[in-house]
Amino acid sequence: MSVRFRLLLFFCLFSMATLLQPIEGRGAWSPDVSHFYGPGGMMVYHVESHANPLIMVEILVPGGASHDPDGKEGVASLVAWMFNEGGGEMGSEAFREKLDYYGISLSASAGRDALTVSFSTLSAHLDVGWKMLMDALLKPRFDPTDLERAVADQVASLKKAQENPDSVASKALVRAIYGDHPYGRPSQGTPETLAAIGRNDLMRFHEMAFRLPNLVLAVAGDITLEKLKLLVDDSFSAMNNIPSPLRPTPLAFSKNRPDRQHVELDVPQTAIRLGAVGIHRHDPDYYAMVVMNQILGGGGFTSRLTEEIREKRGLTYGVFSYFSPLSGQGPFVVGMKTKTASVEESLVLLRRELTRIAQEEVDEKELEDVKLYLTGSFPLSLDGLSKLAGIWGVIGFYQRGLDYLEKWPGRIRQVTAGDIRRVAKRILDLDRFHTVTVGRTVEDKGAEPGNADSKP
Amino acid sequence: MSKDRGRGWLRGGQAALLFSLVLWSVNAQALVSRSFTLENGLQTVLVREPKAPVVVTQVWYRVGAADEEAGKTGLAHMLEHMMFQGTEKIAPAQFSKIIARNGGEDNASTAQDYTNYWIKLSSDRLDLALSLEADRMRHLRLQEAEFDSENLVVREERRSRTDSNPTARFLEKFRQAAYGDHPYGRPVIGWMEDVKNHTIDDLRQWYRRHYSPDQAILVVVGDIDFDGAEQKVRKLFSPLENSASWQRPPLPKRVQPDQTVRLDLHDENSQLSHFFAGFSTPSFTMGDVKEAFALELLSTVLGSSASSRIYRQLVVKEGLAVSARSGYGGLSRGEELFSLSATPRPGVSLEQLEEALFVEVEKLVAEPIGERELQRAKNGLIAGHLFAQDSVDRIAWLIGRVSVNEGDWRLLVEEYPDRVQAVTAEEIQQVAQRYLKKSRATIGTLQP
Repeated sequence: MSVRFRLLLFFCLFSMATLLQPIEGRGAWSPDVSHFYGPGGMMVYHVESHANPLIMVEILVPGGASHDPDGKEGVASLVAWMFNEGGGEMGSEAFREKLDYYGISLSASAGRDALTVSFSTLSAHLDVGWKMLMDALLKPRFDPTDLERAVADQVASLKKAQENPDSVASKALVRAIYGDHPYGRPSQGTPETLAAIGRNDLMRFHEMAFRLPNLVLAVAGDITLEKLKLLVDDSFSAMNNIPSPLRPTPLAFSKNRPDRQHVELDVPQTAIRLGAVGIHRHDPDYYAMVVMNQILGGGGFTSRLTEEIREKRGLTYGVFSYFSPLSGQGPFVVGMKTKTASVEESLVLLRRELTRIAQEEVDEKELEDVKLYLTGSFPLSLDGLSKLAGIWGVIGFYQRGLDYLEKWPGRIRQVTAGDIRRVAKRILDLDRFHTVTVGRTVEDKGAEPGNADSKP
Repeated sequence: MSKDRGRGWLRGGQAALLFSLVLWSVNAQALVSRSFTLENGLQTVLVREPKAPVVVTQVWYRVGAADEEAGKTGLAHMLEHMMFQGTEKIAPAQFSKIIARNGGEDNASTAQDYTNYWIKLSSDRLDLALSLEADRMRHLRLQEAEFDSENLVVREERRSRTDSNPTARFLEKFRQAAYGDHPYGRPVIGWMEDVKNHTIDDLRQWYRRHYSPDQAILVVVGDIDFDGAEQKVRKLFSPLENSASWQRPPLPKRVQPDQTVRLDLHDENSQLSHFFAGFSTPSFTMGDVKEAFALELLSTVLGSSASSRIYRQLVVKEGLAVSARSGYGGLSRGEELFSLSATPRPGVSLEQLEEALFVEVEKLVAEPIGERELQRAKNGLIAGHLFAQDSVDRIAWLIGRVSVNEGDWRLLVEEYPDRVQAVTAEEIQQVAQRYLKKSRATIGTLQP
């Protein structure tokens, strides 16, 4: 049982997009990548490494939760949940048994934009594993009894999430920011929408999502380029080669009016979220945003928010900011938790820091330190096969170009104090921000026996 | 407990024979390592992993929450936070900033058995990581002002981890019930009252007593050259003197109650019902290594994946549960809990669930498992072990985690696949018979 020190909990509903944030580089070290097009124009990235007998694969398609049909929210997440529940001739039980027997891992997850399939195997079992992967991709089963089990699991996890102040706050914030926009939907669905989803909905969604012209395949590890090309040509040509009708989420939408909401939950600590619409993946201010966010509340223990709220005042265990550059404009979010009595003080401090970075130019030393971190920690983001497959998958999905990693450090170095102020002014305008608090309205320790301070 | 495993490889014909059902063509290969101990007692393990130009350093201190006294719980963890709050050379809160400016990351963790600190950065900055660790091993400042605000941070951490989470609150009480007066029954983060009562003098005393080269293990894994790295370690750590020597006393033995311990709680903040059972079991470092490997396989067969027994039977076939799993860590210094947990489907009672779970346990007690099932469990553990070496952090973690209990890390890193292969169905049945008795269990239920 280990207590992790200072682990910031990023309850990021848009987790995939954040993958791209901590990549940076001193000498721009990164292992060589090969890129080619497979059948139907599918994009393939390959990083070869024989240091270990392992192969990691990521497949991305436009099949994230923002593509869920109206009234059937949760379809994408169920397709992902059921991704390893059988394929071809093999039903769930036989399929799972075989995966375990060969020590193969196969799973999927639905983000906002993309559905991501993750597959890893020892290279000795590549052929067995690849066949199973292709069965899951091309001949999914979605057997009704398995679907029923998936829904029961999902409903239980939705219920469980209601206990968690961070989850409740994140969901409320997303709804407040996006309203009816596809990014505002409940990505895991609701008990009602999940009940309305049948096997045909999953088959249809799966068929629309997995189309060759929209598919990105990233492979890292103990496999040669020749072998990969053979596998890809042999197996993927059976997939539909008509472009997916699932289009990227529109960039523009009408914004909700900013507001403040409170959700009552009987916990001794309140979760706070402030958020607004941020930027999309191709925004020209992307790099300025990376640097600005790092100064304000990015990872590690060096941000202004950490300094002011944790280090100086001991008000929280973790305070953070993040942005999710998606196909459309993803959110910019600031969050923390603090005891009930400190909520108003914390809100004042959070708002003060959001205002300060938009009004005062950051000093050169602070800017330089953050650039040194961002560029210097570059190799740390690429030091394993799973990281490499993950990062190239996202680069391919958002079409960031083969030189993306190589150019990243230089682009970070070019960001000026003026750029930071400009992007902060544009995005961190408090008049656009929604505020959510989840906790008790007033501190009243005596009222709930279970929740007061612990005693031995 | 983590399932982390470092690197390990099958060696030679023996493994191939045992692996008759699926032949794993993994080449024989050991970790490239160098171990040495300085005159002051600092134990060092260097591992060369050149696949990326990074290095991770981990310093493991042989002290954790289990070494605290009642009434002073949480001190080990509180000191861990203070290790970032300044030394004679480094100003408060500057530690992580210096590392960040050098493109690095750092953090730490505290558990019952140990306190661990890590820094990860580009391998050309190894000097910096080593000099910062050497500095704070003996020269922490421990000032009142930093302590006052960091103590507030730890209170928030406790509210966040435990007090706001119905399952965590329950599990804290569950461990207390399972371990009684044994130190493992106390929370690592400490009881809130104790945390509020910590003083700077408590911390100074803790630091003086426990932070010393003879109480530490240094693990360095990454793109390093052994001679250069060893020279740096010797130069920076050799001058450090030991504090008055503290001999870690043996952990007391957990007293096994003569009947099932039960803890049935209602918590209106809990949205779901949960069932938990814990069986006290020996760990890898307690002596009988064969038993520990058998327990690890037993847990895999019983409930660690979708093809395990309780998932198949309770979740898939009978539809009694939304989830069901088992767990065995095996890495503790003292006895640990082999766990079973499950969440019932709506409409299913916890009694029904408990009964069905114990039917599965009884089957493992009554009959040896079949060949295919045994091999599947072995293959899964070995594959997981091989996947873990994709990460230098996990290799370093496993070496340190085993060494901090005076165990031999090679057993769980290099020899792991062979050891797993050697376990027989009979040995698994024997540990099931010996340890998975209901009369020895702590059973807990949590309901809304």
